[in-house]
Amino acid sequence: MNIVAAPSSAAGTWEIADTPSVTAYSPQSEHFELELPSEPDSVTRAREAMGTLARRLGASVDDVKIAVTEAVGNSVLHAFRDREPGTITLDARSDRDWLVIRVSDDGSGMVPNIDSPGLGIGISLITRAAFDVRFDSSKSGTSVRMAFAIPARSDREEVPDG
Amino acid sequence: MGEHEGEMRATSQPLQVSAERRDAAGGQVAIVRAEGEVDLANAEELSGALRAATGHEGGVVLDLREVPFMDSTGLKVILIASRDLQAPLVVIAGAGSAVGRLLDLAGVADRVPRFESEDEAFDALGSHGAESPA
Repeated sequence: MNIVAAPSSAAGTWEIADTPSVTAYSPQSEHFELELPSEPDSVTRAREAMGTLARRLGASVDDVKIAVTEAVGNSVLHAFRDREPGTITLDARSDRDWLVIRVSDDGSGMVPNIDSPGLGIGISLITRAAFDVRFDSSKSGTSVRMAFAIPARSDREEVPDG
Repeated sequence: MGEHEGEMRATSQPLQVSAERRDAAGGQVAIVRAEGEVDLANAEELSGALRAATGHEGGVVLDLREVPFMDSTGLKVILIASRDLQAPLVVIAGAGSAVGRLLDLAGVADRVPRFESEDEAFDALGSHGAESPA
């Protein structure tokens, strides 16, 4: 489990090279994007959408739903405190072995907050449910990138890497 | 399963919470049953039901077998209830369920004992009541 806080200048880039065994996305890879308003119902919508995707790809539906719920919930609860509601974007990509989901918002970034309801539990759940988690926070928003393993399936033709 | 975009609907099953009480070996037990997904949009309803279950000396059984998903706000409600109730709280959740997975990931087995059936949950409360030194 790696938790890496990338420098904020990396916001907007999509760095996958250091997830184990993911080197490039093939033309057949999946790319799914979803934009949601920062409101509680968006947590449910994000969970349903990513759970459906995880089921189709063969990743752990429970782990994907748990991590996505916490990531979107964090944005809904914290990112837009004391400011106008904004947008939460889910970007999901997959190749043969990994489903990589990034949840980003255009809120205020991670700021210390002693009233935070359960933030610690949510982040620890993300880091335990996903394989590789990166938080990237700046004044222009926060993103959480999470990788989920797609176990080999017997009905899939195995092609050696390289 | 829902592979069509039209099935990516936002409507989760609305949360319903009911409560009953039952006499057991260790005293009167409150059984709180939840049905539907629990997340930050509705965890407060669960919180209210658990607060209302205070005062049952035999403990509280929280039945989550009909909860297909719960998030950290639901878990936090349970942890707070477990801390504040004057009696033990145990949870029923199905094997291999998303709620079970959440409890495992959160590592709260010591604070939120989990069982798969009502009988096991009541046995645990009963034995808790009999724990006083002989």
